[in-house]
Amino acid sequence: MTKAFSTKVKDTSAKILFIICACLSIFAVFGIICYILVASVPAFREVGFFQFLFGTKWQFNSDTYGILTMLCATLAVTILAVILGGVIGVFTAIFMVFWCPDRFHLRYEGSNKFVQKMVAWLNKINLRTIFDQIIKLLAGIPSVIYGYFGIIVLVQGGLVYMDPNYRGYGVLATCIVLAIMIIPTITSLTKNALEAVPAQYFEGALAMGNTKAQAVFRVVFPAARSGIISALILGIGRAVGETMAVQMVAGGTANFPTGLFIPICPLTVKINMEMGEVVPGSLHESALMATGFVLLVLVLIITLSVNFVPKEFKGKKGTRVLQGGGENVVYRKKGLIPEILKYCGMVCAGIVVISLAAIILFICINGIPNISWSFLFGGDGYEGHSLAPAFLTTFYVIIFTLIIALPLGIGAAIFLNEYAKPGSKFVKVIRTFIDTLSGVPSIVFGLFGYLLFVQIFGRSVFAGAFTMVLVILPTIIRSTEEALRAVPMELREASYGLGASKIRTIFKVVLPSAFPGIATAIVLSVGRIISESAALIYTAGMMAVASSSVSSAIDPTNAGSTLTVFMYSFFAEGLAYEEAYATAFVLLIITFVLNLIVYFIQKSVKKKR
Amino acid sequence: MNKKILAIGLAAAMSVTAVGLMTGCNGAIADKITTAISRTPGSGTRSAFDELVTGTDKDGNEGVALEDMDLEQTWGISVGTTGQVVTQVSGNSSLLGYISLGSVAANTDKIKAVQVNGKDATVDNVKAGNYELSRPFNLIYKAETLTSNPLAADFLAYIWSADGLEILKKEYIDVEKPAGVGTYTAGTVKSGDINLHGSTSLQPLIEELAKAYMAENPGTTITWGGSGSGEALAAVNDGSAEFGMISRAAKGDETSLTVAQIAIDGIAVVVHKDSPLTNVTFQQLFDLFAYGTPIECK
Repeated sequence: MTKAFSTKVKDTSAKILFIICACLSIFAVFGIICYILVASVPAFREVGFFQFLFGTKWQFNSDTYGILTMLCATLAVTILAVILGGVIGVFTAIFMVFWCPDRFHLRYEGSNKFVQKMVAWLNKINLRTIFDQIIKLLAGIPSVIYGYFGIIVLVQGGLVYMDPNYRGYGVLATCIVLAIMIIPTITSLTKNALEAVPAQYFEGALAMGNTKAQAVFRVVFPAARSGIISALILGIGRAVGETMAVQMVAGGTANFPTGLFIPICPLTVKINMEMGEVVPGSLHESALMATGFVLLVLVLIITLSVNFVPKEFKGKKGTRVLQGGGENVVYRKKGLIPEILKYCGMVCAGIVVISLAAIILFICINGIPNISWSFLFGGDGYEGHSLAPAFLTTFYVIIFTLIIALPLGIGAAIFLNEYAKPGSKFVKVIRTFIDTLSGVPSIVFGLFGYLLFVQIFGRSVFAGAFTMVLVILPTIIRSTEEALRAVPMELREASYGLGASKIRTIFKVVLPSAFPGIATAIVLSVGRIISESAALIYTAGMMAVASSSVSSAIDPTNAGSTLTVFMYSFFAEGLAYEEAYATAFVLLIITFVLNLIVYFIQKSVKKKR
Repeated sequence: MNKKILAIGLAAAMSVTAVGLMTGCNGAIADKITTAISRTPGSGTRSAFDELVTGTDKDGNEGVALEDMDLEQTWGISVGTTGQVVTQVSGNSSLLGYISLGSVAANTDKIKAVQVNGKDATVDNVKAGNYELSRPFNLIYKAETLTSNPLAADFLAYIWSADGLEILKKEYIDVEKPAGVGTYTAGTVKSGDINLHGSTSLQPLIEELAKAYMAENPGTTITWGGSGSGEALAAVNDGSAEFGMISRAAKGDETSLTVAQIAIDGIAVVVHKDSPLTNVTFQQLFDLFAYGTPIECK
């Protein structure tokens, strides 16, 4: 066998492996659809498809299942949440891009050295970065924390007084919590869309004598509309699938959403509340699966509809795009509305900062007093509750998930960026499926893991890890692909020029220079795993807090609770609220640290270039 | 710039408000109960409560159980776990819910149990049959488990030992030992681990028993978990748990396994700790849960 031949065999087999990795997302999406559909067939058959979809009664004692009330509740709160969160999110993005000052310009005339130093220090802070981090932190907070913030502060502290029935739960509470949760998604995507609008549009509008506000709201904003619509659609997808936070503020009884304070039970809540109580193999279980299936279809429709939004600016930031765009816009010299909108942007940005500040304060005030060394790492010898077993389980889930997901995700990214022809049909299909996978609600992942992985491994850390692989795969593929794309073509050409094979080039040249991007992917995945709860409760399990011991958690074939699930069970058992807040504080710190790591990795990459 | 200072000031003001809200200005205590909190349909506690609470419905039919009524209504809210009932009730004095009697003691700083039909919710009253809200606690297991797993057999026997009964009787009512369960002798089992899975209502009891057992028998590990009675059967069948915990009578496929009743538990009707409500009748509970009729606190 000649050397050339063996290299060729290697190259081809590697290519095939990468293709398989890339196709995995397709299999995953179809797998999820098929498994859940098969599990829901008995319900559709027994109840009747239309009866199931349009029935208004859900009573499992008499095997009556109809989800219309829940479907309406889901749709209503989603629409309201997207209106509320969308307005705030889009305006916040506009503020961030156009009006957020770079730094404070504080002046201090006095002679106090300390104050002088403080002022100098404050003036150094990069406000844009801070704002960016605030949005990322909001995105990283586990939804269980949002849920308890919603109950204790929003419902019991505020909405109760507005409700004539002195209750506060229901449509409005759900909307507000959902809105806060989707703001990060909408803001960051809108920001990207606004930044993709060629600078000439903005400059041209200013040159025509428009004020800054007019240029922004009459030229740049309309030009970015397709990106903003995509952002809103993805926000809808996130809102439809949210489970844990909604469960705590929705009220949980299936009513039509006829008023702001009517308790409701969206689809996700129904599934999550009753999954723990079903008799396996019963029609009840199948009906819950069918509910999950309806939810999945709903989310698929929403995610796929993003593809029908025309993409206007594919070029890089600031490049000239030859396109008609603005010729129908009538510029006016005076306009009050854009000026008002400008202040709207500032107010919305303020709301976002305040929400985050409130959540952080809420957790810190309740959590910090309960933190102690033995609570964190007490282990089995410690009398009270300790987080040690949860740390161990979280660590296991992270390690096992990454061991499986990293090679698959990187392989897929390599195929998409190095092998596939850009813009080919096949690549488009794969990308669509990756996007679809990333839009699947975590409770649906939980149901799938329950149907497949729990049957294989039993309720165990392994089942949880396999489920999480599917959850984080899109994140890894996307971040890695971005990193690969940023590697200059010259590097590859130089490597080929020296006689290296393609596979050698990829592993010795391209991947090492893409390492910071891959590291970012890992950190983002860790964040996602840590904040996940709905997908893990039915797969890795939810151990009773008091029974979680290091000796049991050390064996990954046992069930175990990760930190977030652990925090949820503190609340769920109703035995130790102080510790629950302390856990929330620990999670907040972890999220913050992970965000910082990503920030510094990206900063070091920028410096190098 | 002024705007920035304004923004910072605004944030500070909001934060202060938020702190104020969090540190417990819970407002006035309501003088009537307007909202019922039920557990998720299918939960052991809910099945028992709905079966036991009866009243006269609007058509004049007497002795109608709640389980025959449609409880998914605008005046009720429904939550998944015992802890969520406590969270809700402790934050709002116009709510009323029900939890396992055994879970009340740990939360007396937040909630209180009220009398039902004029009887205090105490273990003695349940035992004497005065307090009408009670249900069985069951463990289900494969018959062969007791022979193949000495720790499982020993732990089950421990429940009826002197120490076990002492723990159990604190907040629950003991029942006769079922046939087939052996006698417990300390120190006969040196190692092994077992897992119990299912109802959250049983977990406080199992926690006490398991901790005492493990203290007496070093080297053994007992774990427990789960989020509802419904999970018990699957966990036993797939072997991930030796015992399934069910906080109601066993039904359906569950009866194909061995069922051992270990205790009787009262169901406490709970309200905010400062609520003036002291007593509710079945009819009041029935009207609240089925029709949303408020209960006046005198």
